[in-house]
Amino acid sequence: MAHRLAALLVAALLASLAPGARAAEERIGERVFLVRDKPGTATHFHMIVNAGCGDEADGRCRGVAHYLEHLVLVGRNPEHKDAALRLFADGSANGWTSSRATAYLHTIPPRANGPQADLERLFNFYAARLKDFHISDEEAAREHNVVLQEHDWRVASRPFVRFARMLDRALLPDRAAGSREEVAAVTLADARAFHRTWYAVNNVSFAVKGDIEPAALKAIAERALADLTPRTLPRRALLRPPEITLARTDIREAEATVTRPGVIFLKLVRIEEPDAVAGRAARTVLTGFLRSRLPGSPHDVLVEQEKLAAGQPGVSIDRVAPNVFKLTVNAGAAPDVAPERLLAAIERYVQGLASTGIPDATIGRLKTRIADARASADQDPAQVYARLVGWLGSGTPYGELAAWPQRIAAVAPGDVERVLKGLAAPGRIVTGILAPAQP
Amino acid sequence: MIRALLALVLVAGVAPASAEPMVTRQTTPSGLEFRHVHMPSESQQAIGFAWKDGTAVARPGKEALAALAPALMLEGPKGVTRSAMLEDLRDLQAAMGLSAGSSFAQGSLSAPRAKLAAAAGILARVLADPALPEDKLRQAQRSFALASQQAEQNAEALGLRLFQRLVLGEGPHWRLGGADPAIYERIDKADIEAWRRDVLVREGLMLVAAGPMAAAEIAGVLDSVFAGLPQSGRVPAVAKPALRSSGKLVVLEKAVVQTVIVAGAPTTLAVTPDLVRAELAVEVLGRGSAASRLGRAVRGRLGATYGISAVLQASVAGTRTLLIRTPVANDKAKAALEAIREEYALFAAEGVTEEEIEPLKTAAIARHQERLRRAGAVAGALLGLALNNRPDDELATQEARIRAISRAAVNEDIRNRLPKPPLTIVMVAPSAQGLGADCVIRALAEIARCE
Repeated sequence: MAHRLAALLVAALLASLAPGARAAEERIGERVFLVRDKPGTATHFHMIVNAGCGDEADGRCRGVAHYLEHLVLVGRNPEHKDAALRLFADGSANGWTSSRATAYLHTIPPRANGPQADLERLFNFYAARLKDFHISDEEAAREHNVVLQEHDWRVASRPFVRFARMLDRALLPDRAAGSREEVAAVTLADARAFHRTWYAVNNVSFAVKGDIEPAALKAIAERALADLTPRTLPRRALLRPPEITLARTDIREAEATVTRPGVIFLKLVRIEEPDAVAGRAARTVLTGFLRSRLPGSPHDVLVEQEKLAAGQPGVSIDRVAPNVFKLTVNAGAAPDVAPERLLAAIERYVQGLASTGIPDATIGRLKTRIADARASADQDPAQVYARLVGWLGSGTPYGELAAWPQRIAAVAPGDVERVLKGLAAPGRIVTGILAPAQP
Repeated sequence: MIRALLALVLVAGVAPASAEPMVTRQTTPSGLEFRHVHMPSESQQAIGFAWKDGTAVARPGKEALAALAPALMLEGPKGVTRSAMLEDLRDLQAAMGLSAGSSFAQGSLSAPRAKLAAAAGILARVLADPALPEDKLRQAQRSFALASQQAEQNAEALGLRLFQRLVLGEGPHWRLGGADPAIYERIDKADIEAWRRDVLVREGLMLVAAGPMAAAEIAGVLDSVFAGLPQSGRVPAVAKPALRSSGKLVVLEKAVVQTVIVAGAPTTLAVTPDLVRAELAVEVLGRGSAASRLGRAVRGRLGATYGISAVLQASVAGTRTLLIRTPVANDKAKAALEAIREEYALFAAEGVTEEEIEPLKTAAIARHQERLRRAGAVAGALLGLALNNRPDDELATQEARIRAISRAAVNEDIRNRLPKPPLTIVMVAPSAQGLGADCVIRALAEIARCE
């Protein structure tokens, strides 16, 4: 018995000292997750609300969820005299809003007595925010200006971002992010209504990275969330598949602030996905290829072979709704190349994806990369935490996260081929060329 | 025995994240000296390397060497395309970089321990036998020139260029920033080959390594990359520009979505371990758009901006320039300008309070501790120390140094080292009307008349 115990202790010691010691998240309650870190490390906290701009009225992304994020962070509430952004004078705070989620994040320095008191404060604060938020009309109006300035900085001041938003609205008129006028029209009442609808305890997750015992965190969370009542949530608008009309829109604009023409190709297609997570794994491998410089990739074909594009083409495949996907390809035209030629080449490339395919060996190479990256990340609590937050924010069921490596390993060439064929099939197409204005 | 093992397990399990890094000086079998930090629990091994290099500012008209020479080297070694090289590095989970500026040329390599040797093999070939393809040089020249022209269309980039011009004056240090697209045409392959011969040599090479590999093991890897470099080269001396501040407000009129304000001036700060005091002072002014003094004034009270920052920028090696930047609503530009001036005047006259400095000290210590957990960050910090002739133990003593900082010392730096008002201010705005500008222009090319 003593020998066995000694052997176990030696094994535990070696494991704790080994470079490959594995970090992992623990689910310590229905909606609370912990990534345990060493003493002396900063504490990270996220509250992720499972509602984003895609959950606004009629699924139209006008900016209400984003405005509410600002209001929650700058409002002065009964629990604290200063804005939530300044809850901890020695910490940092921020928020983000996507089409699917809204997140609030805080980072707090390590404390001699551990992070319990800070986490108690954060859980109490956000438990109260799930019930209500307070802000004066004056502060709300001022923050509305800040939101408009954020829009002007992120979108209106960047011609290609503004142009891409416009094309998105042409592709998905009922869903794409709002124009400046729409953002300007959002009201405090809209934000309050969104809050009443979606900020429910059964619609949030909390993630913590820090040096705290799971039992201690569980107790803090349970105390804070005890008197919150789950609510019935409406059906999410983003689950409703948009109609795909087999049509095409081509938009060409010229702008004085653009010096190099750029093109954007958007395509909305339907691809059946009997198993959503398996489909996501196949798209992850495919996206790895499309963003690479491997033979047959967009970079290889458009930049190296045909010399039509400059720089790495941008490619993404977004799941708009169950079985509905948006392919985006954007690229800058090479010097002296007409953007129309580049756009035509992109279309040929997308159309030819299904017939050219991706070699099995390349798929194997990409899967190995993903597995290696996962194994490396597993040794680092910060990466495990970032992965957890990203997963929760994407709305994918948590239970699938642990099995993700097996999902990637199971991706077969046929799975990737199905996605390629789907992308090449008929769909709704919107193309755009943004060129320099002629003097 | 079991009790002893149990104690060891407990100790190992709760070992603090940031044991102070022990920097040792080591020598490779071929005689190259390097600074080494052993981080047994880190999975990534990082190396950093640098040379003092003033070529780009010492040779008139050759400023673009700083951008083009590293870019062409990174096209890969002979017989391999850049794409194939990058894909090999991705397989190895490795990151490789090479850059140059007005005072240094430097690079980095990181990879998991088991893959570092293979990644180092790629770096060795890049340094020893680069392809330097002429067609890629021509592409890069066009690409950099177009990027420079595109940057000038962006109000934030334009504002920064104007400000740098006012502080640096017309000369190679300013041209190095790429404001003149024509500089890229003045470089040919022979210039890059000469730069490589003159700079990338054993003499003057600064090497650092941080990660799980012990000194003897990483020494072999370093030799595999650097031992074969030529022994010596010919690095021209760098003439430092005289930084200046006119205190003027210059407005460039342009149709912009937001008005950009860039304010600042050179400081008399020396780049020593005590620089952190002034960095804390500037954090009070402009770290965090919501919490800093400028953030509270321009975002919090006026709602005029989404973000505002104040930093000490290393525009010329060994110096720091105070730099405040913000894009603001056009109709609130005047109020934002006044708020920035008022806040800075108050800051310069009265300094900071205890309540402001203490939390920032805690935050700075936490960031420092976090940085010490990452091999790449430790290697980068070590290289920074080496390039600035700062002591090896600075990483280990930094936490104590921050703890010991007093409000009085910070305020002394504000009084004696940071610029006194008025700051030099550049605005890119739809109209200069009502702003009280000392000089109004319509294009960057007109800036000389505002000096």
